[in-house]
Formats: sequence, structure tokens, C-alpha cells
Amino acid sequence: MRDFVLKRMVALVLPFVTMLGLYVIFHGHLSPGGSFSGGIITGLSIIAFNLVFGTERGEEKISERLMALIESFGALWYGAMGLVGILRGASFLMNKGAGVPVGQPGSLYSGGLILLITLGVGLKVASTMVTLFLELMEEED
Amino acid sequence: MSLVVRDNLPVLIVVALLSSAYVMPLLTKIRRFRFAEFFAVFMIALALSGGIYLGQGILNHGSFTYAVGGWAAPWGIELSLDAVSGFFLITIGLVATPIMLYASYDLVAEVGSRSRAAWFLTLFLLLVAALCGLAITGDIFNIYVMVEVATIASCAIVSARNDSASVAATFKYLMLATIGSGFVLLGIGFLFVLTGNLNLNYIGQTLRLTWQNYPTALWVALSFFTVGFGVKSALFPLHVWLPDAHSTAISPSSAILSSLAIKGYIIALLKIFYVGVGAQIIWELPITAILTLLGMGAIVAGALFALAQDELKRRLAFSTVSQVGYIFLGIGLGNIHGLTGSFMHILSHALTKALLFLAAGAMIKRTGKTRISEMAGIGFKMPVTLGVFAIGSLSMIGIPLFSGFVSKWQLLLGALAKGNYLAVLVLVAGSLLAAAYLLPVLRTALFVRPTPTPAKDEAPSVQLVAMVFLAALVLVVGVFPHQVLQLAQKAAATLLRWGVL
Repeated sequence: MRDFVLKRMVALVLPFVTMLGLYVIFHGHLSPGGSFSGGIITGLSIIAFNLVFGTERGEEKISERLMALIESFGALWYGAMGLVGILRGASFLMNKGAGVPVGQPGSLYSGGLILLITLGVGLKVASTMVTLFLELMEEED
Repeated sequence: MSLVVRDNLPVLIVVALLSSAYVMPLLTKIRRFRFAEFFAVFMIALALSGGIYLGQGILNHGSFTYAVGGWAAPWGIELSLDAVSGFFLITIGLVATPIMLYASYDLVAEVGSRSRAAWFLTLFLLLVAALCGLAITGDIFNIYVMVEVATIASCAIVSARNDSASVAATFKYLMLATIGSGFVLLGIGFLFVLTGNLNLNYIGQTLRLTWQNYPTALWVALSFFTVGFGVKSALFPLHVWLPDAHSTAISPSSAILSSLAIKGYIIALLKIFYVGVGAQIIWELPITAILTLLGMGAIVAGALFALAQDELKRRLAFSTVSQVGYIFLGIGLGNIHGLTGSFMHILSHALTKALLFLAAGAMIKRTGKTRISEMAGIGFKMPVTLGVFAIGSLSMIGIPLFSGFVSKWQLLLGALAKGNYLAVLVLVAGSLLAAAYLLPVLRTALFVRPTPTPAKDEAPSVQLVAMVFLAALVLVVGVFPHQVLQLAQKAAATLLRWGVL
């Protein structure tokens, strides 16, 4: 029963850390923070799980293969969002000008495509952090 | 639909290359990895034929700009498609496609495993995307981002094989390139503080009115750019990372790094100096004299270092140091012939050095011999490979009817127009030295016949196609230089015009 306190505490805190990370990502266009900081917080929650419970348990929860998939998906998602503007006859990454509804200022949905783009970047940053960490862990063996 | 593609072509080229770079890691687990390699070749060929189409459009219909996100120039990121971008896009297109084709033949065996091969393809596509981005961007911070992407990709591509020599070379390269990035970023910071703009045209307009208030600060900014981009493009005293990095990497990596990657930084430097600051201001400051001196030093020193090498790829790497000197000499001369010569040399060195590295790689792969003194009789074993190597060598020396002659002739005209007879002397000496370090390879391979004469054992046909394509381009540019020369002159005129406006 070594590290009992640590494991219990991490199990209690981790959901909230992940929530905070997602909150920062989703409110990137409204408050300080955004996809980079939010993505790093989200990634750190997964890294903390790997550190405390070991990389085998971590691999069971989210495999490295899935991480690589998410990483590529995040980048491709950004490109796809950029193409929305082109497909609507305007220029690359165009938002309001391309006729995307931008919503009520100040509310969660108020930036048009920006929320979706931020989501992609957040996923990419989070998975990159985890991949880097796992890569370094493997180097030690 | 085709109209939509045509209107957005500049940004679509970069996006297509970046997106396909991120698709590559997903393809490691598919049953037939050939498909991933084929996809990479296809995407590069597609994107870069788009680039060549754009370049021709610029030559025929003049330059245009593209506002990313619909935000107009001083606020948004502006892509500026002028003759400079068109020329470099054409260069990338003509050179990167055959290199990718060559690499696709035995990539997995060359780098060790499938996942490494997939990452190699990712890095290769990222590098080409960043170079295309450097060609078309008109925004100084966008330049910095693209420079960073290109730097990281080219550092990682050196260590594709993961042996100790290439990893050590990568580390050295990474450290020096990072210092270079720091200098570039400082220079960008200076320009931004001086002008309050990130768009190159607006920086130019502001500086023309106000630069006499702070000549020292501008001078500092230009020095930062010279050193920063000088490290990255291996200008002579700052070249120390290049020989290790370019000689230990696998041959396709060496080819793309030597032929295109270092040119991307030169294009960025040209854009900042001539579009951002303007020719007239550049001529007022001693920067052109310094670039001329550095260029001449690089031509002679690089060639002398190359003479001393016995390892073939190392000799070619030092030859790159020497040839980069020609480009900087042309920039330093700063007249229309000098700049045309620089642009032509960017193209002709890209074709020639890619060809030489690919041919050298094929010879080393077949025989396992890396030293020139051991290469006796390779001409009998691999006649076609050695033939294209000979074409590359002659072009590098600057023999008429090969592409190297066209660029060196323009540089000579530039030096004579400027009345700089030392530069004329150095240009001639550089050609003689190039003959001295390249012809012995041909002599050993062709005229030293070992007994018994080795049987014919040619490189694989896919790789031969890539090399013959490059060799044919060297000859075509050398024999019919008219169109390319016209575009290079247009690019040089574009740069010079900014000072006059």
C-alpha cells in the first residue's frame, strides 16, 4: 500500500484538473488562456496519471497510438476549419465574412469558427505533451 | 470549383503539404507502406505543380496579394505573390519532387523502421511546406514562424537514421540554428519597434520616411538578420554545422537540405532587406560591402576546405559552403545582374547539388565506399549514375551549356558593372577550385580501371529516373536559359524597384 495518499489524492483531483483544462480551452476567446494553456493543463492531467499509476496503466487508459491519432487529428481539424472559408467562396480561415454565424458577444458560442479551431489546437497540444513525456520515459529503459 | 482552387492556390499549396504531413503518422500501421510513400510523392508533385502554375501566372500576369482570413494588409497576414515567390516556388517544385521520388525507393530500409520512415515523410513534407511558406509570405512574423518550422524539420531530418554520428551532427546543428533563430527574432523585434508594422510593404513605407532618425538601430537590426540568416544558410565563418549535418544525413536528406533548405533563409533575407528595408537604404549602409566580402571569403574558403576532404559527401557539403558564397556575393553586389545571378544560382545550385548528392548516395549505397580514393572504376560499374554525376560536376564548375554557367555569367557581369575586379578574380578562382575538387572524382571513377573490370550494377530504376530528370533540367536550363533567366531578372527587378518607389 505504498503511495496510498498520493494515489487517492490524484484520483480525487485529476477529474477537476482535466475539467479546468477543457474549461480554459473552451473559453479561450472570452478569457485569458486558450488552446495552448488549456491543452497543456489537459495534457498534464494525463501525464500526472502516468507518473502516479505507472505507464502501463496509462497505456490501458489512453494508448500511445490513440495519442498519435489525436495529434494528427488536431492539426488536420485546424486545416479543415480553414477550408470552411474557402468552400464558402471567401478566403482561407475567414470567419464572419464567410457567413459563419458568430452568436451573442460574451456568451460561450460567440466566436464563430474560433471555438472549433481552439478545440483542435487544444487537442493537438495536449496529445503532443503526453507523447513527448512518454517518449522521454521510454528513453530511460 | 476550379475557380475556387485557383483563387486560393497560394494558401492551398501550403495547407495541402502541411495536412499531408500530418496524415503520414496515421499510415504507419497500414498493410502496404508503399502506399504512404506513393501518397507523399503524389502530394508533393501536386502541390508543387500548383506552385509552378502560380509562378508562370506571375510571369505572365504580374504579382498579386492574398489576405489570409480576409483581413487586409496592415492587420492581417498577407501573402505576397511576386516574381521572387514565383521563382522560388518553381525552384522548389523542380527539385523537391525528384528528391522525394528518389527517397521513396528504399526509405524503410534506409532509416530503419516503418514508423521512422513515416516520420521522415512527415518532416520532409513539413520542410517543403515551410519553404513554400517562406516563398509566398509577405509578413515578417510569418517569416519567423516558417523559418522555425523549416529549422526544426531540417534538424530532425538530419538524424533520420539515428546513428551516433548523425545525432551528434543534429545536436550541433540544433544549437547553432537556435542561436540563429534568436538573432532573427531580435531583428524582427527591432524592425517592429522602429516601424510598428509586421507587414513587409508597410515596414518599407514607414522606414523610407523615418529611417534617418535612427540609422544605428536599423543598422543593428540588419546585422542581426545577417548573422541569424547567415548561420542558418551557412555563410562562411558561420558554416561550422553544415559539413557534419549534410554529410552524415541520408542522401535524400542531404540533397533537400543542401539544395533547398538553406536557400529558403536566403529568400527570407532578400525579402526583409529589399522589400522590408528597401534597396536605397541598404546601399546607404555598409551592409552590402560586408555581404560581398563574406561571399568572396566563402567562395574561396569553402572550396579550399572541400579540396582537403577525401570523403565524397563531405566534399560536396563543403562545396555547398562555397556555392552559398556566390549567392551572397550577388546579393552584396546589389545591381540587377548581381541579383539576377543570385536568383539563377539559387536555382542552378539547387538542381546541381541535389543531383550530385543523389548520385553520390547511389554510388555509396551500391559499393559501400565513402572515400573518393576508393572509388576506382565506379564509372564502369554504374555508367548512368556517374554520367549524371559528371553533368552535375560540370555545371558546378560553370562550363558553358550547363546551368551553372548561366548564373556565374550573370554574377561576372554584375561584378564588372560594379567595377569590383577582386570579385571577378574570386569568381574565376572559385570555378577553377570547383574543377580542382570535383574533377578528381571523375578521374578516379573513369580512368583508374581496376582489374578485373567490375560488372555493370546500376542504381535502381526509380532512383535513376529521379537523377536523370534533374540532369536533364540542368542541361535544359543551361542550353535554353531564356525563360528562367527572364523570371530571375523579373525577380531581381522586383526587389530593386522597392528602393526606388
